[in-house]
Amino acid sequence: MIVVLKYIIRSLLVVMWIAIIYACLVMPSYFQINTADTKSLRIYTWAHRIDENMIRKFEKKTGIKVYLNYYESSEELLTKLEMTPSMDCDIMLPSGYVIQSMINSSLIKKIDKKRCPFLKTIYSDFMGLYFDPHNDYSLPLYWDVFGIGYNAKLVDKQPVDLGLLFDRAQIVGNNIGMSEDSREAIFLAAQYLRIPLDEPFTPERLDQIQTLLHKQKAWVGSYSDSQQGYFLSSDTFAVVASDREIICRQMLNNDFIKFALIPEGSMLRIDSLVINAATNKDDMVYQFLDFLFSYEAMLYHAEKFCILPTAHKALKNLDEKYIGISGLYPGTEIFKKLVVFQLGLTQKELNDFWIRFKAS
Amino acid sequence: MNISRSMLPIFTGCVYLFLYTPIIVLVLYSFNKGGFPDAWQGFSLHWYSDLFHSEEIWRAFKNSIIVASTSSFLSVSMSVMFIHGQRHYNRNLVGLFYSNALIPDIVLAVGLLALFSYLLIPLGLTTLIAGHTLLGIGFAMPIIKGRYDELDKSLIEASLDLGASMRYTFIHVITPFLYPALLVAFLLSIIISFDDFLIAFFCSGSTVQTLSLYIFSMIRSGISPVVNALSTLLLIGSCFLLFIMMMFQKNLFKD
Amino acid sequence: MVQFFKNVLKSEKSFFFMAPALAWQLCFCLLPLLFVIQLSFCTDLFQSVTIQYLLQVFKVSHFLIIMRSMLLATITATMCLMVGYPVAYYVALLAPYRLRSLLIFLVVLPFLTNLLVQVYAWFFILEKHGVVNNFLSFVGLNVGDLLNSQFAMYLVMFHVYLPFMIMPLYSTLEKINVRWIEASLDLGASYFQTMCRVVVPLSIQGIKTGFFLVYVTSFGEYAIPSLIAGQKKYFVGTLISEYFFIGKDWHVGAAFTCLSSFVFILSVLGYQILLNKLVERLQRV
Repeated sequence: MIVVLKYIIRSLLVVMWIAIIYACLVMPSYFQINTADTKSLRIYTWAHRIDENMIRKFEKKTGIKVYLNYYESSEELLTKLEMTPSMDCDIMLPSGYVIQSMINSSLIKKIDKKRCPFLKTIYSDFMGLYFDPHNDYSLPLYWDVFGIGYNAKLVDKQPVDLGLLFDRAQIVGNNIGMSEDSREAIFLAAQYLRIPLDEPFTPERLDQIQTLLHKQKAWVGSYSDSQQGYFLSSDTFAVVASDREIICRQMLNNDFIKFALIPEGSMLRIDSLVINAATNKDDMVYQFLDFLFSYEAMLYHAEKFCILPTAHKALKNLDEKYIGISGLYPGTEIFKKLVVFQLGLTQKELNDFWIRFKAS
Repeated sequence: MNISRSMLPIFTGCVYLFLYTPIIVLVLYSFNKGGFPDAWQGFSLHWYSDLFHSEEIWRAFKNSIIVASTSSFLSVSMSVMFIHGQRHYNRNLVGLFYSNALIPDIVLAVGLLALFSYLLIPLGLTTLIAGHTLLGIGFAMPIIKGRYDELDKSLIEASLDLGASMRYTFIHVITPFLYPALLVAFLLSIIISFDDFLIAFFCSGSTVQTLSLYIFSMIRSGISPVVNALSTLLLIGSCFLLFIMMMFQKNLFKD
Repeated sequence: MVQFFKNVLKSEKSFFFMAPALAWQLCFCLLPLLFVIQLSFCTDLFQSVTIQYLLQVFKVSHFLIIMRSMLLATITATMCLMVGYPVAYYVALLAPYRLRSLLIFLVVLPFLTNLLVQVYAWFFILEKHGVVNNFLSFVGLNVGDLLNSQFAMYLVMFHVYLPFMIMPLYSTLEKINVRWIEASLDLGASYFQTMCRVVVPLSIQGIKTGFFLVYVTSFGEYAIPSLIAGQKKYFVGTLISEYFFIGKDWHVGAAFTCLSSFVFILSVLGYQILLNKLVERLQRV
């Protein structure tokens, strides 16, 4: 009897401590609602999109404190957003396809277009894309293209095309750099194999892509996104597949680095601004949006990070050395060839594909 | 025998050189005036001033410090309480906690992520502290237990015989004796928490960035001598803490 | 009656002190593992047990990845053992006393340095314009592409885990009385025989601790393969993080974690038996 009582007391003690621990874990989130810094905004973004000096200017002008946090990949954004209760960040800057999932999971709220006078400054080419047909939830802030960066001292072939990446006979040097993102890799392979992109991929076509990527592995030095510019400038690889932004940053310091669009059509990527569904700081959010979309902020960021703004005036006045390619404006011939790539596979099919590829 | 007598020291010297070459190069280049990959261009401290002006790094550092100190404090105090509580039991109950240090970090991190998501606990500083405390307990327990075993139990009996309550004995007899081990366990916990990467990678929310995560994202985007400067400072910090630890604990890593 | 309860409560005071640590362990060590198991076997929270997720990971490609990680861990542990044992032997038994503290300090310091700082340092050295290549071109040899290769990854793993091996070895070797070695040599055994029959069996505990410390931690390594090896091949750590962060398929990710943990535990047991047998063989040298 005493023994039973002893064990009951022991279990009660343990349960009591577990309850205390649980309360401590959950408590801070309750605190945050009540005593949170009311005049503040939290932004969750890619690196190299918003500069801290600009943030200081905004803070001085309006008195709103802004906290920046960075994520490495779009999926990381989705995962972490679904984990934390929605009060964690107010504004996010995801890329295209993620926005569809966010809309479906009700993670973001509709944008009140009446409070966005800057909308008319944005090119219509960037509005109304497949992931948000009426731009109810997202506003395009920056855009970029995915293509080929190369070392002009070592590469003679003009025009630069996908053969430099996929054809063994045309490889310059020992290795090339390839993207680690599955979507970009599939896009490149599909363009090289001339598979039409507007139809859903059949299993045979997927197999073709998989075989090509497999063959390519033999001469790929590294699968990464952000390191490619660095590898190019340090002579590690002569040719890399990468975003224009990363190559452009290297181009500013090195004359021999050049960027080329894929002749068959490069991928267009839009970075849009979305508002978290659970935020209640709408006034401050729209103030910040106003600020971000203003001419001087866009131009400053474009020059600092080599990204491309979506607004007319900012893009027109941007020096070409920050763009990297001449004539890359909406409405021109080369712009018309850009593709907004919508991958028809489900996330699960994509996983299976990519893991099968990387596993061997 | 003679050959090995002279070869072993040389071999050992080479191994130590190998262990330290990357770190020495890293530290040297943090003082380089030029950026990377330029060759040595002269001595300069301007990377350090860049480091001090970067607000991001300070925020990451602040987060790291908060997490490290809280989790170390929690793990050391819980370990002491546990070891004091289990004095009556003959079985080695401390063995229950060995798994913390032995399970691969990734399994722990994944499990914690799954746990927090199912219980709808928001990820953030608190969850990070919880994970690091777990690691800290795994390291602190053996150290404190080792020191506790050296305590002559008759001292406790004597103190109780002389009329002191158990609480008094604990505060005035046991704790001072354990003091070196407590300090060592605390410092070790802090260092482990600072260095941890996997648990922070999996279990931090969108707002918390620790120093390890910051360096990871910097490596992803290439080389920057500011990271060299940061690494040098971290190294000096570890050096200093280790020095203190070794002063207090000669048998630091006994089995 | 109340007195009775008071007495029982008083006798449980010591358990009161033990409770927080136990509660913590239960919450954050046991429960997460349970959750992982439950994620891999159940579709919903602890309901409808199914093995479909396990079947999805029971593929050749996944086993290949697990084997690759095991190979990495084994080679790292073995290399560390080969190099670490002589060093620990020297520091523990042969080094002059004053030098010993300094040497221990120098071994422990990398262990306590941030892993990423060390990885960054290697990145710095191995890349195209780093120190090694500059030296090679200075000497006249061909400048190679050292980074983004399996060689670089093994090198960095070896460097990072060497202190992990040296420390337990040192602590067991330190306990060996030098006179026993002298006695064995005096009795006519060769140096090699002394090593095999006296020193190694006495230090077997340290060898096991060191080997398994390195093996366990390098099996689930994530940072080094993903930063140094160019991400050309998946390892257990990178694949698990891929499942959880990019694939967002937690069930399959958990199933893979369970599968790799199971294979891993089997391998640990296997190595235990192997090490024991090895020491027995050495006894008969």
